[in-house]
Amino acid sequence: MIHKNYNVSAWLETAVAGIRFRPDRETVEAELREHIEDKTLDLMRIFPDMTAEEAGERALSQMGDPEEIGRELAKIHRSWLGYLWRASQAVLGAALLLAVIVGANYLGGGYTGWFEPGGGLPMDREGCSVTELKPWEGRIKMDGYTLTMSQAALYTWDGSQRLGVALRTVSPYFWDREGRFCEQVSAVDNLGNRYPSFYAQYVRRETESRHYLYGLTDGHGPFRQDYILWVEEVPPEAEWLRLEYDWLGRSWSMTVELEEAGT
Amino acid sequence: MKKWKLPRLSRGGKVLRNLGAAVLLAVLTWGFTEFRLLDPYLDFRRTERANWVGPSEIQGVFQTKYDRWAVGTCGDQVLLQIDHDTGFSYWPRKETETTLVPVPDRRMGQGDVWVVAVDVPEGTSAARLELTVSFWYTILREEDAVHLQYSASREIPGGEWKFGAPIQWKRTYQVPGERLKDGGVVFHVSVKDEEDDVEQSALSRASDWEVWYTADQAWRSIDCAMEAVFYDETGGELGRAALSTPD
Repeated sequence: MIHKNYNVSAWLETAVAGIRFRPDRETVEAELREHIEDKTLDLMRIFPDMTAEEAGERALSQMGDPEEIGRELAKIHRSWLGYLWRASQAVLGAALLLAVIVGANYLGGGYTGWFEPGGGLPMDREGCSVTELKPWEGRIKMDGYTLTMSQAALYTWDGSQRLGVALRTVSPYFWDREGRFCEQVSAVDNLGNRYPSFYAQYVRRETESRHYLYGLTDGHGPFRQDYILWVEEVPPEAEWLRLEYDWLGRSWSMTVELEEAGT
Repeated sequence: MKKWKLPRLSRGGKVLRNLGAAVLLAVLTWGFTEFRLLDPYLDFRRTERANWVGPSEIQGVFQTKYDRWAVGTCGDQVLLQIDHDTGFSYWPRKETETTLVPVPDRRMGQGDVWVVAVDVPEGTSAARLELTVSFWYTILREEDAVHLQYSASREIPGGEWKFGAPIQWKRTYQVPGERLKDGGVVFHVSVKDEEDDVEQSALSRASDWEVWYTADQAWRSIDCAMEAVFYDETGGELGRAALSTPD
């Protein structure tokens, strides 16, 4: 038996020596061993007088030249694919670990993440009448972004009026975050009143106007960013108001009719 | 009923599945971090796109006490971006000469001023900055608090000195510049006496540029004047740039 085991082991070692990826080598070796054992048992069943040692030797001899089989097996079993598989498992494991660590930080409030729902324009305000306006329907395309107006509403209280405008930018750059272009948006109404931008008010100190405008971010997703612009002190007699952007070579404008949607 | 089973994947299929899942997880994880970019140049370019400006000429990336900043120029503006910010701070750029920009680091407040120079003369290998800060002040030291009152002028328009007669304070700092890889030069001025709370507070105000440098104010707390000189390799002067609070 020892002699038989020695022969089988030597044969198997030679046959699988060319398979460099160890898990494959072990699997193939186990399969071949099983095959030899089956063959040995078959021979012993067919020839009852044959000893186990003889049957084993004959089975081995029927298996063929281990070196030749080894060369064929080495060709079939490409080690790089095995190593790549192992590497892909390690990469996936590392990605999972990183996701758990960063995800825990995210859940702990460390980051705002890739999605933050916006509230849009509030349509119900105590002590204030809200008139929904027809938003400007055009599209502005700039630097891969498409800018649209999603909502507009007029807020009136105690003789004062404020215009709220919800803007949305959409782009294929899912990794982009919201910009601060709203700081550069100014406005003018049909009465000639100018509403200086946030930038003009706080950096250039153009504060002589009682009309003014400021913008806020209002949520973001992988492909979109939402903003709300508030235009303050819009006179009741104003019929329309034009938002204007003109900064470092880019410009656009959009007009909001200050009359109720559907009229 | 026959039980449905997932198809058995080949090894190549498993590799693709694992790598695909890892990429998906990585993107999700990156999203958790608000898609932060570690490279300041890529971050600057992305911010340009989201803010509809550029392409700018990036003139340097530098580190202040707490933050990393990137500075670029585009048209008639100098753009400053603090680490991972979604927008820029803008500063008017001089068309044909060097522009000095006090870095608006809101978190300094500890007696540090960084000034960055863009469009510096070609061939600059060294630079020096001279910063003069002056003001009038009164002070009240209590056991647990120090009350300071400042004014750039001897008189406070429409107000009065609360803690006695004002004292004039004036100090000049001279510091060497550090040439940035992309062409700009950054200067760092820090307090001479860390125990001097008057000096600390004064220098902290020197970078409050939105208020002191870019607008005509009826009143301001300090006067600042700075001049940078740029030198070539042989020590020859290549040019000068100046900035001061309005007269």
